[in-house]
Amino acid sequence: MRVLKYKEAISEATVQAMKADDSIFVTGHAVDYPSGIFGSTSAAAELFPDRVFDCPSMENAFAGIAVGAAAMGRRPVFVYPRADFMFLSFDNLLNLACKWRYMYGGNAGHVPIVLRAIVGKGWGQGATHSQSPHATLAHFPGLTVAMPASPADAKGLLLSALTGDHPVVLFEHRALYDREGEVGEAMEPIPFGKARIVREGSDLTIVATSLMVGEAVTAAEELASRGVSVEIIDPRTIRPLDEAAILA
Amino acid sequence: MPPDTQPTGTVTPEDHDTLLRLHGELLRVRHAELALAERYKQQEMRTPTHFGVGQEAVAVGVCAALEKTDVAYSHHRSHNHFLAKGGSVYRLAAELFGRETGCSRGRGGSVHLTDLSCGFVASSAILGEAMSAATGSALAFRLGGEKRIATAFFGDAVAEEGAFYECLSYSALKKLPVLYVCENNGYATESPLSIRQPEGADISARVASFGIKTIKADGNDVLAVLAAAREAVAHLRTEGTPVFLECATYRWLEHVGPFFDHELNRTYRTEEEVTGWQEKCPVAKSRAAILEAGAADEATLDAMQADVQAAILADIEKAYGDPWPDPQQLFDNIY
Repeated sequence: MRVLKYKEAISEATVQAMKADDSIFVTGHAVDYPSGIFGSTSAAAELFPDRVFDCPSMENAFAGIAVGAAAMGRRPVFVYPRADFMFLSFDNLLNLACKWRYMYGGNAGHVPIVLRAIVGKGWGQGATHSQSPHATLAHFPGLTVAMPASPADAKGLLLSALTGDHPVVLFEHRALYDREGEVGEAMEPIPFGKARIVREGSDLTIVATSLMVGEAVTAAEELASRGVSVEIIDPRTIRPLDEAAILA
Repeated sequence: MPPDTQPTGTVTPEDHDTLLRLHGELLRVRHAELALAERYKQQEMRTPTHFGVGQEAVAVGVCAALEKTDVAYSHHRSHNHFLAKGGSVYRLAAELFGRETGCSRGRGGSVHLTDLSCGFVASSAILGEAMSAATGSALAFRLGGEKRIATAFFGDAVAEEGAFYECLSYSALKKLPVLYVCENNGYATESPLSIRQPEGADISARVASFGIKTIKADGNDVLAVLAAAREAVAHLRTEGTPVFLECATYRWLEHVGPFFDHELNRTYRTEEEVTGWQEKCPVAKSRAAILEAGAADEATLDAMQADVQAAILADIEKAYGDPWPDPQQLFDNIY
């Protein structure tokens, strides 16, 4: 199978979904710069200049703006080049977007907003550029929290978000962006809440997400050399969480 | 309707149909709120409710200038806008009673109303959300090349939120067809404007510094609001850039609940202040304008009011008799 980098898989999913659905638009700080969010939005920006556009620093209101656009049938993708800025969006995200379907009894339609949050950990990024608030967000009903660890998952989970009908946050670890892996060419969404068994094992199970999946594989290989058989499960989304796979 | 003359959108006394239509809407909103407030005291509506009595002219005047395909968002004091945009008293009452037939199937309560069929998208209790969401709907209209308008109703306290400035900056930058309607009633819960914003604060002047067209209107005069809203709508349809309409008005009842503040011995505002604003009642003002224009006589207006009140009471009783949501559906729309 073809090999792509993680960032290329995100880019391909975005382009494929935008070709299939005119309602998708991508915004966020610097999404249409030549650097295109570490290369993940540059192809979409070139193909769809009217639908990929920069956004001022306004994470608070923009989460609500995304909701209002989605309520009118658009599919906004909002990119946070640093996940730490998401805290500014929590009101409109958690009080409005996540509760939308429940608190209007399903009568106000759907607001399928997609938030891509890049975890910046590494290279001295420091206290306010290194966080990953995924555990916090996973507490809120109405939100899907995806943690793609591989290029194939980055593509498939983003496609699910862009074809689904409710709010999704994807945490993309910056350190994964240049990792390579096999990725199918077809537009195939990966369903939320379905874990991937990364490695079979009988003595111990490690549940890991995002960057830590690779770390867990390294640990499992080390333990294998000492006669310990380790199973690794990547839940892929932590809300919904595939408890059946983990507890099996 | 006569063609718009200077100032844009003014209703002339000769336009009797408009005067009576607006008055009918004012009566419907006013008497729905009064009847719901009275019923609220029986403790069968278990939802914090912010009644909009006294502020009806803003909602009625603005919504009269909008098309059904235009959309509106509102805040915690949302009944006036829900009704004026075309929502029914029956579905509002059912929502307050927590019934399955409520506009949000009894899950939302007073501050979370919706009726997409008439373009009332949503109300929300958190300050700034209505403004953000309306700005987003305007962005959707801009992206789709649609000639629709998104409207946000909110109070003066929203000008203290960060989202307020983000929305103004963004809508001005992107030239979005959004109508911001600020109902300046001088209070945020029980805090007067004087302790919340700098002395001499002028919200519209602040907004104008973003390059946004601003209009001020007497929020207790439905004809003044309609004229201002028509001017705003004309600008929005032709220029496509945001308009900020600030309407001075006043709520008669307590911040949340069905009583007058003086009935509960609250002292943050005087009974005289409330009485002074009641003398500027928007419904009475509309009635006087009709009589002066000779559009209807006293007896006709009395009959009109009686009909509206009877229909409202029938709607409330019908809603009260409706079924509760099925407990099996408690987790509907949660995932």
